Amino acid sequence: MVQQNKRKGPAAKRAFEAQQPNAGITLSGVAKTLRGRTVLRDVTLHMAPGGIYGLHGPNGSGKTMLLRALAGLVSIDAGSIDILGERLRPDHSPSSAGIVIEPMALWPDCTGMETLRLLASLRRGMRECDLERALERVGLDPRDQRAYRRYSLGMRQRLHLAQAIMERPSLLLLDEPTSALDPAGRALVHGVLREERERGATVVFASHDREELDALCDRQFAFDNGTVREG
Amino acid sequence: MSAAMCARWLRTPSATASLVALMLVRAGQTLVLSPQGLPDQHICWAYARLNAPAMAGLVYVPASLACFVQPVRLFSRTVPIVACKTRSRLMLRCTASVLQAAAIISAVLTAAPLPALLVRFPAPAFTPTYLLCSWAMQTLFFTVVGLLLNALLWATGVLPAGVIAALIYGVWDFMALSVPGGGVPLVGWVIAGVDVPPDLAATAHDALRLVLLAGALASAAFACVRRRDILTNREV
Repeated sequence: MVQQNKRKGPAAKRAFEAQQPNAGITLSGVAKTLRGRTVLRDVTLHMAPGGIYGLHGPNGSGKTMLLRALAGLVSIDAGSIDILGERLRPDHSPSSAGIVIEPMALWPDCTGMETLRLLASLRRGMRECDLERALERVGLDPRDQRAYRRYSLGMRQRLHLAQAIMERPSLLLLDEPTSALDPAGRALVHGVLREERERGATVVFASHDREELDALCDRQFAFDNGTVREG
Repeated sequence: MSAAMCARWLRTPSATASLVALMLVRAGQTLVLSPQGLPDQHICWAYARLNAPAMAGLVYVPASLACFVQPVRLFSRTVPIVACKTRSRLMLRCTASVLQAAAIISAVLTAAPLPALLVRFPAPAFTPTYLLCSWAMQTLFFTVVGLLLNALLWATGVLPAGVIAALIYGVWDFMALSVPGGGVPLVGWVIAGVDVPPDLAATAHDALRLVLLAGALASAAFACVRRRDILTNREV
């Protein structure tokens, strides 16, 4: 089965991973202390592949820190993180992940399309049509010549999401990706995330808006002072 | 033109402005040196080493920083870090980006005064070998500036620390160029100049010193990037 997977490429690999009981995201006893303050305490949870998972809780409860840990942006002090069957090693990020996590700081004088081209130059195998499609999916015009610094907050959030989905990643880590969007923009983003789930991607979505999470997520996790429980 | 090149040079007004400023400074050097009535050989040497008004450290370093700040800052943000997959690949990309900017700055500084020099010194002093050596040495010098900025950014987590360190490096270099006994050990522009005609052995020795310094800075940045958590200022 593994050999078949190698022959058939990424789509077959994702289907193969979806059949594995241990695929998806598994955190075991994850802890993180920052400047003497414990921001994650013994976090243990599992997320099966191909779902949308909501994280909620008050400010400073550990949602964003968990997303950073999953993205390999912060090291963990204890425990382990397995993503799609691979143990996340120190200094490494998941092999196929799209993120919207601050600080983003995209190039201020580039247009949306130029921004995606610049970020695509750090990856491999991205085509121009993939970038245009990513912009169109989030409701931005690939021919828009306005620079990023002239974008409204909502347009910036759409561009952030476009760069996260342009590579068709297996994992999407999104920290409040709709906070500056109007209702129509939110609905559009929700549609995009559902399409990503249908494609087989695992989406982890942090938000303060419980209604939004209820409408969008398959499962939710509540954070409180660095601890997590389902619900 | 690649996306990265387009973003760096066409979509970064500060970088474009700094390149123009560097060209004007080099042209200014030509004007400053002309009326001094010095023997031609002395002026030729001064041009070649680019250090006559001893302003390399004080002017070139700050002007060149604008070309390094945006790409170095970009590589310290979340999306490029995740896109590069590993911190070592991130540092390789960042170092390559610094090297590319240094090569372009060096090319500008080497080419800017050439018309004036070729008119004044038509003798075959400025051979392709000389120009290549000069360009390579200046590239190494500016690479050190960019890597210093990068290393301090990753060591401290704040960009101004890198900028200040690079400026201090420029002042150190200025002292080596203009203050007797100052700026020792010699690690900057003062050893990046190439004699006319080039002394290849001496140039190689000086190049090795700059390469070692650049290597040490790249290693320091790599050591820091492996340990650093990527947080917002609020979280820090």
